[in-house]
Amino acid sequence: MAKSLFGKTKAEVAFNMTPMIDVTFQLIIFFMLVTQIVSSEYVQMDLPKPHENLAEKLEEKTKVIVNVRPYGPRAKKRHDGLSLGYSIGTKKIKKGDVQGLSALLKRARQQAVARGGNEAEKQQIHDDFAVEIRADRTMHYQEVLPVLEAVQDAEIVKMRITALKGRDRGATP
Amino acid sequence: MSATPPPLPSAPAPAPDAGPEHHYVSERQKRDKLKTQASMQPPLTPMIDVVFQLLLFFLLGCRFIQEEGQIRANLPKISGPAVASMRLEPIKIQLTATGLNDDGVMIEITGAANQTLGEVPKVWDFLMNFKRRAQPGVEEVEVPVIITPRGRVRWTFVVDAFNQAIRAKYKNVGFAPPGA
Repeated sequence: MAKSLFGKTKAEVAFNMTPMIDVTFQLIIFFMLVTQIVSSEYVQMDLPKPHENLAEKLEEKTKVIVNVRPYGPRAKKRHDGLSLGYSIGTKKIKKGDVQGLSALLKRARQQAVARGGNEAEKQQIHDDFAVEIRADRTMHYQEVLPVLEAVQDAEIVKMRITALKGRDRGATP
Repeated sequence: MSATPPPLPSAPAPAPDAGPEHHYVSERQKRDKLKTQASMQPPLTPMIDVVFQLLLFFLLGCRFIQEEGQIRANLPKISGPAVASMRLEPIKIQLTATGLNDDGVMIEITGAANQTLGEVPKVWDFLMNFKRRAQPGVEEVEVPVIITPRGRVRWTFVVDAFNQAIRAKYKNVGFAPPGA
Protein backbone atom coordinates (compact mmCIF):
# COMPACT_ATOMS: atom_id res chain seq x y z
CA MET A 1 0.00 0.00 0.00
CA ALA A 2 1.50 3.27 -1.09
CA LYS A 3 1.14 6.20 1.18
CA SER A 4 0.98 9.86 0.30
CA LEU A 5 2.71 12.65 2.14
CA PHE A 6 -0.18 13.08 4.52
CA GLY A 7 -0.49 9.41 5.37
CA LYS A 8 -3.51 8.68 3.21
CA THR A 9 -3.63 5.33 1.45
CA LYS A 10 -3.62 5.32 -2.39
CA ALA A 11 -5.60 2.63 -4.19
CA GLU A 12 -3.43 0.38 -6.41
CA VAL A 13 -4.90 -0.54 -9.78
CA ALA A 14 -4.38 -4.23 -10.68
CA PHE A 15 -6.05 -6.70 -13.02
CA ASN A 16 -8.05 -9.44 -11.45
CA MET A 17 -6.23 -12.44 -12.89
CA THR A 18 -8.20 -15.21 -11.25
CA PRO A 19 -11.12 -15.54 -13.74
CA MET A 20 -8.71 -15.35 -16.67
CA ILE A 21 -6.57 -18.13 -15.24
CA ASP A 22 -9.71 -20.16 -14.58
CA VAL A 23 -10.85 -19.83 -18.19
CA THR A 24 -7.38 -20.56 -19.51
CA PHE A 25 -7.16 -23.74 -17.49
CA GLN A 26 -10.55 -24.82 -18.74
CA LEU A 27 -9.41 -24.29 -22.32
CA ILE A 28 -6.20 -26.23 -21.77
CA ILE A 29 -8.02 -29.15 -20.21
CA PHE A 30 -10.48 -29.16 -23.12
CA PHE A 31 -7.75 -29.19 -25.75
CA MET A 32 -5.71 -31.80 -23.89
CA LEU A 33 -8.71 -34.12 -23.76
CA VAL A 34 -9.82 -33.75 -27.36
CA THR A 35 -6.39 -33.72 -29.01
CA GLN A 36 -5.37 -36.88 -30.80
CA ILE A 37 -1.89 -37.26 -32.11
CA VAL A 38 -2.14 -37.88 -35.83
CA SER A 39 -0.52 -41.06 -37.00
CA SER A 40 1.60 -41.15 -40.14
CA GLU A 41 -0.70 -43.92 -41.36
CA TYR A 42 -3.49 -41.39 -41.81
CA VAL A 43 -2.53 -38.80 -44.41
CA GLN A 44 -4.57 -35.61 -44.20
CA MET A 45 -7.19 -35.58 -46.94
CA ASP A 46 -10.85 -34.92 -47.62
CA LEU A 47 -12.51 -38.32 -47.62
CA PRO A 48 -15.67 -39.24 -49.53
CA LYS A 49 -19.03 -39.46 -47.80
CA PRO A 50 -21.52 -41.54 -49.81
CA HIS A 51 -25.29 -41.48 -49.58
CA GLU A 52 -26.76 -43.85 -46.99
CA ASN A 53 -23.29 -44.43 -45.70
CA LEU A 54 -22.36 -47.98 -44.72
CA ALA A 55 -18.96 -46.99 -43.39
CA GLU A 56 -18.29 -48.38 -39.95
CA LYS A 57 -15.34 -48.57 -37.62
CA LEU A 58 -13.72 -51.95 -38.19
CA GLU A 59 -11.25 -53.01 -35.55
CA GLU A 60 -9.09 -55.36 -37.59
CA LYS A 61 -5.82 -56.52 -36.15
CA THR A 62 -4.11 -57.43 -39.38
CA LYS A 63 -4.54 -54.76 -41.96
CA VAL A 64 -2.48 -52.35 -43.95
CA ILE A 65 -3.55 -48.83 -44.86
CA VAL A 66 -2.70 -47.55 -48.32
CA ASN A 67 -2.97 -43.79 -48.76
CA VAL A 68 -3.28 -42.22 -52.18
CA ARG A 69 -1.40 -39.04 -51.35
CA PRO A 70 -3.07 -35.86 -52.60
CA TYR A 71 -1.37 -32.59 -53.35
CA GLY A 72 -1.65 -30.11 -50.51
CA PRO A 73 -4.82 -28.06 -50.14
CA ARG A 74 -3.10 -24.95 -51.53
CA ALA A 75 -2.15 -26.76 -54.71
CA LYS A 76 -5.52 -28.44 -55.00
CA LYS A 77 -6.69 -26.34 -57.93
CA ARG A 78 -3.48 -26.63 -59.90
CA HIS A 79 -3.30 -30.41 -59.58
CA ASP A 80 -6.98 -31.09 -59.46
CA GLY A 81 -7.68 -34.78 -59.07
CA LEU A 82 -4.04 -35.86 -59.32
CA SER A 83 -2.01 -37.72 -56.74
CA LEU A 84 1.59 -37.50 -55.54
CA GLY A 85 1.93 -41.25 -55.16
CA TYR A 86 1.07 -43.74 -52.46
CA SER A 87 2.16 -44.35 -48.90
CA ILE A 88 2.02 -47.21 -46.45
CA GLY A 89 2.94 -45.85 -43.03
CA THR A 90 6.08 -43.82 -43.57
CA LYS A 91 7.02 -45.66 -46.77
CA LYS A 92 6.29 -43.75 -49.94
CA ILE A 93 5.72 -45.41 -53.27
CA LYS A 94 5.99 -43.72 -56.63
CA LYS A 95 2.89 -43.00 -58.60
CA GLY A 96 1.98 -45.89 -60.90
CA ASP A 97 4.45 -48.34 -59.30
CA VAL A 98 2.06 -51.29 -59.07
CA GLN A 99 4.83 -53.86 -58.62
CA GLY A 100 6.44 -51.92 -55.78
CA LEU A 101 3.13 -51.47 -54.04
CA SER A 102 2.19 -55.11 -54.52
CA ALA A 103 5.54 -56.22 -53.09
CA LEU A 104 5.02 -54.04 -50.03
CA LEU A 105 1.53 -55.44 -49.50
CA LYS A 106 2.83 -59.01 -49.75
CA ARG A 107 5.63 -58.24 -47.31
CA ALA A 108 3.20 -56.67 -44.86
CA ARG A 109 1.06 -59.78 -44.99
CA GLN A 110 4.07 -62.06 -44.53
CA GLN A 111 5.14 -60.08 -41.47
CA ALA A 112 1.64 -60.34 -40.05
CA VAL A 113 1.52 -64.08 -40.71
CA ALA A 114 4.95 -64.57 -39.13
CA ARG A 115 3.63 -63.16 -35.86
CA GLY A 116 1.06 -65.97 -35.69
CA GLY A 117 1.59 -69.02 -33.47
CA ASN A 118 0.68 -72.34 -35.01
CA GLU A 119 -0.16 -73.15 -38.62
CA ALA A 120 -3.90 -72.75 -38.20
CA GLU A 121 -3.44 -69.31 -36.68
CA LYS A 122 -1.09 -68.31 -39.46
CA GLN A 123 -3.60 -69.41 -42.08
CA GLN A 124 -6.29 -67.44 -40.30
CA ILE A 125 -4.16 -64.29 -40.33
CA HIS A 126 -3.39 -64.85 -44.01
CA ASP A 127 -7.09 -65.09 -44.84
CA ASP A 128 -8.14 -62.17 -42.62
CA PHE A 129 -5.48 -59.80 -43.85
CA ALA A 130 -7.20 -56.67 -45.18
CA VAL A 131 -6.20 -53.64 -47.20
CA GLU A 132 -7.70 -50.27 -46.41
CA ILE A 133 -7.67 -47.73 -49.22
CA ARG A 134 -7.75 -44.02 -48.35
CA ALA A 135 -8.11 -41.52 -51.17
CA ASP A 136 -9.29 -37.94 -51.45
CA ARG A 137 -12.86 -37.49 -52.65
CA THR A 138 -11.76 -35.31 -55.57
CA MET A 139 -9.16 -37.82 -56.80
CA HIS A 140 -9.60 -39.17 -60.28
CA TYR A 141 -10.28 -42.90 -60.44
CA GLN A 142 -7.23 -43.44 -62.65
CA GLU A 143 -5.05 -42.31 -59.69
CA VAL A 144 -6.53 -44.98 -57.42
CA LEU A 145 -6.67 -47.76 -59.99
CA PRO A 146 -2.99 -48.82 -59.53
CA VAL A 147 -3.75 -49.51 -55.85
CA LEU A 148 -6.63 -51.79 -56.81
CA GLU A 149 -4.36 -53.54 -59.28
CA ALA A 150 -1.73 -54.01 -56.59
CA VAL A 151 -4.31 -55.46 -54.19
CA GLN A 152 -5.42 -57.87 -56.90
CA ASP A 153 -1.81 -58.75 -57.72
CA ALA A 154 -1.06 -59.47 -54.06
CA GLU A 155 -4.15 -61.75 -53.99
CA ILE A 156 -5.63 -60.00 -51.00
CA VAL A 157 -9.33 -60.75 -50.76
CA LYS A 158 -10.44 -58.33 -48.07
CA MET A 159 -10.55 -54.75 -49.21
CA ARG A 160 -11.84 -51.77 -47.25
CA ILE A 161 -12.61 -48.34 -48.65
CA THR A 162 -12.35 -45.51 -46.18
CA ALA A 163 -15.15 -42.96 -46.03
CA LEU A 164 -16.38 -40.48 -43.49
CA LYS A 165 -18.93 -41.71 -41.03
CA GLY A 166 -22.12 -39.94 -40.20
CA ARG A 167 -24.84 -37.94 -41.88
CA ASP A 168 -25.16 -37.73 -45.65
CA ARG A 169 -23.27 -35.07 -47.45
CA GLY A 170 -23.78 -36.62 -50.84
CA ALA A 171 -21.30 -37.51 -53.49
CA THR A 172 -20.37 -34.10 -54.75
CA PRO A 173 -16.69 -33.37 -55.18
CA MET B 1 23.81 33.84 46.81
CA SER B 2 23.43 31.73 43.96
CA ALA B 3 20.16 30.23 43.08
CA THR B 4 20.16 26.92 41.36
CA PRO B 5 17.88 26.75 38.39
CA PRO B 6 15.04 24.32 38.65
CA PRO B 7 15.70 21.04 36.86
CA LEU B 8 14.27 20.73 33.38
CA PRO B 9 11.67 18.08 32.84
CA SER B 10 13.50 15.10 31.56
CA ALA B 11 12.61 13.60 28.16
CA PRO B 12 10.94 10.21 28.26
CA ALA B 13 13.45 7.43 28.22
CA PRO B 14 13.64 5.60 24.88
CA ALA B 15 12.29 2.09 24.74
CA PRO B 16 15.00 -0.52 25.07
CA ASP B 17 14.24 -2.17 21.67
CA ALA B 18 13.95 1.06 19.71
CA GLY B 19 16.39 1.68 16.88
CA PRO B 20 18.40 4.77 16.27
CA GLU B 21 15.51 6.41 14.35
CA HIS B 22 12.62 5.86 16.58
CA HIS B 23 9.12 6.83 15.43
CA TYR B 24 5.92 6.42 17.15
CA VAL B 25 3.88 3.54 15.63
CA SER B 26 0.22 3.54 16.38
CA GLU B 27 -1.80 0.42 16.97
CA ARG B 28 -3.67 0.92 13.71
CA GLN B 29 -0.42 1.07 11.73
CA LYS B 30 0.68 -2.12 13.43
CA ARG B 31 -2.55 -3.83 12.37
CA ASP B 32 -2.14 -2.58 8.79
CA LYS B 33 1.39 -3.94 8.72
CA LEU B 34 0.21 -7.31 9.93
CA LYS B 35 -2.53 -7.37 7.27
CA THR B 36 -0.04 -6.58 4.51
CA GLN B 37 2.18 -9.46 5.57
CA ALA B 38 -0.72 -11.89 5.63
CA SER B 39 -1.71 -11.24 1.99
CA MET B 40 1.57 -12.54 0.52
CA GLN B 41 1.14 -15.06 -2.35
CA PRO B 42 3.42 -17.08 -4.61
CA PRO B 43 4.42 -15.38 -7.88
CA LEU B 44 1.86 -16.30 -10.52
CA THR B 45 3.57 -14.75 -13.50
CA PRO B 46 5.75 -17.74 -14.56
CA MET B 47 2.81 -20.09 -14.20
CA ILE B 48 0.61 -17.88 -16.34
CA ASP B 49 3.40 -17.69 -18.92
CA VAL B 50 3.61 -21.48 -19.13
CA VAL B 51 -0.14 -21.85 -19.23
CA PHE B 52 -0.40 -19.43 -22.13
CA GLN B 53 2.36 -21.26 -23.98
CA LEU B 54 0.42 -24.50 -23.57
CA LEU B 55 -2.80 -22.86 -24.67
CA LEU B 56 -1.18 -21.41 -27.77
CA PHE B 57 0.33 -24.80 -28.62
CA PHE B 58 -3.03 -26.54 -28.44
CA LEU B 59 -4.87 -23.74 -30.24
CA LEU B 60 -2.45 -23.77 -33.14
CA GLY B 61 -1.85 -27.51 -33.23
CA CYS B 62 -5.43 -28.68 -32.87
CA ARG B 63 -7.40 -29.77 -35.93
CA PHE B 64 -10.86 -31.19 -35.59
CA ILE B 65 -11.25 -34.31 -37.69
CA GLN B 66 -14.35 -36.21 -38.64
CA GLU B 67 -14.60 -39.83 -37.69
CA GLU B 68 -13.65 -42.31 -40.38
CA GLY B 69 -15.13 -45.67 -41.17
CA GLN B 70 -14.57 -48.44 -43.67
CA ILE B 71 -16.90 -49.89 -46.25
CA ARG B 72 -16.20 -53.57 -46.26
CA ALA B 73 -15.87 -55.67 -49.37
CA ASN B 74 -14.74 -59.21 -49.85
CA LEU B 75 -13.29 -59.46 -53.29
CA PRO B 76 -13.58 -62.77 -55.09
CA LYS B 77 -10.27 -64.58 -55.37
CA ILE B 78 -8.17 -64.30 -58.53
CA SER B 79 -9.67 -61.34 -60.40
CA GLY B 80 -13.09 -62.34 -59.15
CA PRO B 81 -15.53 -60.71 -61.53
CA ALA B 82 -14.05 -62.63 -64.45
CA VAL B 83 -14.48 -65.93 -62.58
CA ALA B 84 -17.95 -65.09 -61.30
CA SER B 85 -19.15 -63.97 -64.70
CA MET B 86 -18.64 -67.49 -66.02
CA ARG B 87 -21.68 -68.60 -64.07
CA LEU B 88 -23.90 -65.51 -64.05
CA GLU B 89 -23.97 -62.54 -66.32
CA PRO B 90 -22.77 -59.57 -64.27
CA ILE B 91 -24.33 -56.16 -63.90
CA LYS B 92 -21.85 -53.62 -65.19
CA ILE B 93 -22.10 -50.12 -63.75
CA GLN B 94 -20.22 -47.79 -66.00
CA LEU B 95 -19.42 -44.34 -64.59
CA THR B 96 -18.48 -41.48 -66.88
CA ALA B 97 -17.39 -38.04 -65.73
CA THR B 98 -19.50 -35.10 -66.87
CA GLY B 99 -19.22 -31.35 -66.49
CA LEU B 100 -16.40 -28.91 -67.10
CA ASN B 101 -14.43 -29.93 -64.02
CA ASP B 102 -15.60 -33.55 -63.99
CA ASP B 103 -17.89 -32.63 -61.12
CA GLY B 104 -20.76 -34.75 -62.37
CA VAL B 105 -21.28 -38.35 -63.29
CA MET B 106 -23.37 -40.33 -65.76
CA ILE B 107 -24.24 -43.91 -64.94
CA GLU B 108 -24.91 -46.55 -67.55
CA ILE B 109 -25.95 -50.04 -66.62
CA THR B 110 -25.04 -52.76 -69.09
CA GLY B 111 -24.71 -56.51 -69.01
CA ALA B 112 -27.62 -58.21 -67.30
CA ALA B 113 -29.73 -55.07 -67.81
CA ASN B 114 -29.53 -51.84 -69.77
CA GLN B 115 -30.41 -48.50 -68.27
CA THR B 116 -29.05 -44.98 -67.87
CA LEU B 117 -29.23 -43.32 -64.47
CA GLY B 118 -28.79 -39.67 -63.61
CA GLU B 119 -27.42 -39.90 -60.10
CA VAL B 120 -25.62 -42.41 -57.93
CA PRO B 121 -28.32 -43.06 -55.27
CA LYS B 122 -30.54 -44.42 -58.04
CA VAL B 123 -28.09 -47.29 -58.44
CA TRP B 124 -29.49 -48.72 -55.23
CA ASP B 125 -33.08 -48.50 -56.55
CA PHE B 126 -32.06 -50.21 -59.76
CA LEU B 127 -30.16 -52.99 -57.98
CA MET B 128 -33.01 -53.63 -55.56
CA ASN B 129 -35.52 -53.88 -58.43
CA PHE B 130 -33.21 -56.19 -60.33
CA LYS B 131 -32.75 -58.37 -57.25
CA ARG B 132 -36.51 -58.71 -56.76
CA ARG B 133 -36.98 -59.75 -60.38
CA ALA B 134 -33.94 -62.02 -60.72
CA GLN B 135 -33.97 -63.80 -57.38
CA PRO B 136 -37.21 -63.07 -55.53
CA GLY B 137 -37.08 -63.71 -51.81
CA VAL B 138 -33.30 -63.97 -51.72
CA GLU B 139 -31.57 -61.60 -49.31
CA GLU B 140 -28.01 -61.74 -50.66
CA VAL B 141 -27.69 -61.97 -54.41
CA GLU B 142 -25.05 -63.95 -56.25
CA VAL B 143 -25.16 -61.83 -59.42
CA PRO B 144 -21.82 -60.07 -59.67
CA VAL B 145 -21.70 -56.30 -59.85
CA ILE B 146 -18.75 -54.80 -61.68
CA ILE B 147 -18.13 -51.10 -61.30
CA THR B 148 -16.36 -49.70 -64.33
CA PRO B 149 -15.39 -46.07 -63.84
CA ARG B 150 -13.74 -44.07 -66.58
CA GLY B 151 -10.38 -42.57 -65.68
CA ARG B 152 -11.50 -39.05 -64.84
CA VAL B 153 -14.44 -39.97 -62.62
CA ARG B 154 -14.04 -38.59 -59.13
CA TRP B 155 -13.33 -41.10 -56.38
CA THR B 156 -16.34 -39.93 -54.39
CA PHE B 157 -18.71 -41.19 -57.13
CA VAL B 158 -16.89 -44.52 -57.32
CA VAL B 159 -17.16 -44.98 -53.56
CA ASP B 160 -20.81 -43.97 -53.64
CA ALA B 161 -21.63 -46.51 -56.36
CA PHE B 162 -19.70 -49.18 -54.46
CA ASN B 163 -21.57 -48.25 -51.28
CA GLN B 164 -24.93 -48.56 -53.05
CA ALA B 165 -24.08 -52.03 -54.35
CA ILE B 166 -23.00 -53.20 -50.90
CA ARG B 167 -26.12 -51.59 -49.43
CA ALA B 168 -28.30 -53.53 -51.86
CA LYS B 169 -26.63 -56.69 -50.47
CA TYR B 170 -24.91 -57.98 -53.54
CA LYS B 171 -22.26 -60.50 -52.60
CA ASN B 172 -19.77 -60.03 -55.40
CA VAL B 173 -18.98 -56.40 -55.95
CA GLY B 174 -15.75 -55.57 -57.70
CA PHE B 175 -13.99 -53.11 -59.93
CA ALA B 176 -13.34 -53.79 -63.56
CA PRO B 177 -9.80 -54.73 -64.46
CA PRO B 178 -7.86 -52.00 -66.30
CA GLY B 179 -8.80 -51.60 -69.93
CA ALA B 180 -12.21 -53.19 -69.48
